[in-house]
Amino acid sequence: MNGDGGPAVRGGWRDRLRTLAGWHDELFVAKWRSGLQREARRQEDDFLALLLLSSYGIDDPAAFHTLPLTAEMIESFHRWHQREGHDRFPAGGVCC
Amino acid sequence: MSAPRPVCFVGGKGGVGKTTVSAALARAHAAAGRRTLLVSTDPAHSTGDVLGCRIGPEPVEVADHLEAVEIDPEAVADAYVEAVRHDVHRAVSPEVRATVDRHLDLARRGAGTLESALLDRLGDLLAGAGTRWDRIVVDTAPTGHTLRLLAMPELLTAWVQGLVRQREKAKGVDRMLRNLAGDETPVADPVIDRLHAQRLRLQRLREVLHDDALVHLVLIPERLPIEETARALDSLDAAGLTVGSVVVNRVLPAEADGEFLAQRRAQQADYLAEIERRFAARDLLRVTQLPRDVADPDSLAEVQRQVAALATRG
Repeated sequence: MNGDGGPAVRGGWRDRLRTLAGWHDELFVAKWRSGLQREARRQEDDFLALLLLSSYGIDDPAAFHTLPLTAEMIESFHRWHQREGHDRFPAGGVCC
Repeated sequence: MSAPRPVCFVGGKGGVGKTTVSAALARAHAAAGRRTLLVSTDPAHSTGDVLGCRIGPEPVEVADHLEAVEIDPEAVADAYVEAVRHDVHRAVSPEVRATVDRHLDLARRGAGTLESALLDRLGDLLAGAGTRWDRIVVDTAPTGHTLRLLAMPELLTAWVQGLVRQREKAKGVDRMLRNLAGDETPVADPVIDRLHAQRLRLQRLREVLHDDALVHLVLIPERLPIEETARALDSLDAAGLTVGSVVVNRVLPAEADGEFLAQRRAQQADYLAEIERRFAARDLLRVTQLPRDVADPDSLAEVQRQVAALATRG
């Protein structure tokens, strides 16, 4: 895009371009963004699931070595179980 | 064999004399002037009984050039979980503390916790091989546990690496989102830092086990120990670990007399022939049975004399 910073164009061009960019954003970028947001949540959930295997009774050989992550991950646990519609975390007493 | 390896594990079936052989081997190294650490990992510690002195969870000097330590996995796990609890309590609101405590208590009692704690502590001690100590001799729990323990760092390194990848994937999408919003500042991720640190520790331990360690297997000339030793040798080979010697303990001396002992000796001769045949590719060392059990300095010195060859080999 060139318009910005160039010589002054007649009133309206700039606004029209801006509106156009707004539509473009709404049509494509916003969709992409919400898709990315979903993907980010899904990847974080997968990571959490891997850390919480033993809470589901699945053997987790690394449980001891990942225990120190509890401090950093507790916020994620909380967001996850609320997003999944549980006011309280259903398994293992990990969160509230 | 190339350069002598600074670490050796002594494994074998329960009751074949691992602790005695370990203590004797450690003493032989120390007698040769090498700074030696003897580590007992068997939860039923009897290293102190063999050496005739009290030892504990920190290395203590028990003779010239010889230190000894008994790993206490319960205490290691307690201290570890308490440190995590301290961290978590600083990070979370008071209302979730009780439930986080419950999670940590469950983790403390978890199936693999003591084994992992043992491995962790062993890793710390083995990190002193070649610097603080010239030789480290590790007296192990019976075969099955030991094989698992030796294989764990490899498995865990791969496991933690998988977690790192998953975390990087999640953070990568996060970064794209922020870039989209015009935010290009890099964000530190303490989770990935901790995972990397863990992976590095496990990887180092794996390298020590593969590159700097030997595993000696002890057996006695009887049916069950022979079979177990054959299986253990296969497992060690498959895991890429290096076997040192096969130590045949409690071989009846030729001068043991009487009808009863003559019969036992005849049976042992059959088993010894079988051992020579089945483990022909291995380095074999015989240790003869003494008239008294090895519970005094003189008998230990005699075993030390017999296993001294191990100390010069590796």
